[in-house]
Amino acid sequence: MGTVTYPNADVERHIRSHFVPVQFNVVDEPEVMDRFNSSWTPTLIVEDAEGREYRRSLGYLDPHRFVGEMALARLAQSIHRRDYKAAHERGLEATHRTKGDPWREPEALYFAAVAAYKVSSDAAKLQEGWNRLMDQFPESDWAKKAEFIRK
Amino acid sequence: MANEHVRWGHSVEDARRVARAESKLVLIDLFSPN
Repeated sequence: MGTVTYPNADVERHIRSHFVPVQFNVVDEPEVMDRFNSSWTPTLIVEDAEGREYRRSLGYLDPHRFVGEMALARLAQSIHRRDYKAAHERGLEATHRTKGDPWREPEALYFAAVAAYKVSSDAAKLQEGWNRLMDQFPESDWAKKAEFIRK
Repeated sequence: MANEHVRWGHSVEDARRVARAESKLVLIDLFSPN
């Protein structure tokens, strides 16, 4: 992460714009593994100012996957806060940021559809977004979570 | 390993104060140096 991901200009910009970064060297401070209930490094955790956790990732992330993770964290926060206008915007961003990432793009599509539905109160938006998810990633876990809508 | 590109803090409590003031999220990275 320190040699490839964090020096990446897009990653650096994304962190500076949206996050306050904190780093712990677990060799120097082994107690942080218990403090944050982690079992492996690198561990990335995204919390709000009150300590509510929105996202956790274990293992190395390249710049594309890292920015996708961060976009999903921001989307999760806005949905949690019921700020659906922000969630709608962040859903579009997460969809864009996770493009081509077969693990994260389906999740972004799932929650982008949720946000589009919530901001509009139009259930057709949920159907439309989830249909897109099921068409593009039919074998994904997120498509399986959405498929009841077709039954 | 730590890097020069991102300005990492080392206190979650301080980070939360800044995050509250600037409407940001806190990113915590637990790393093991190579």
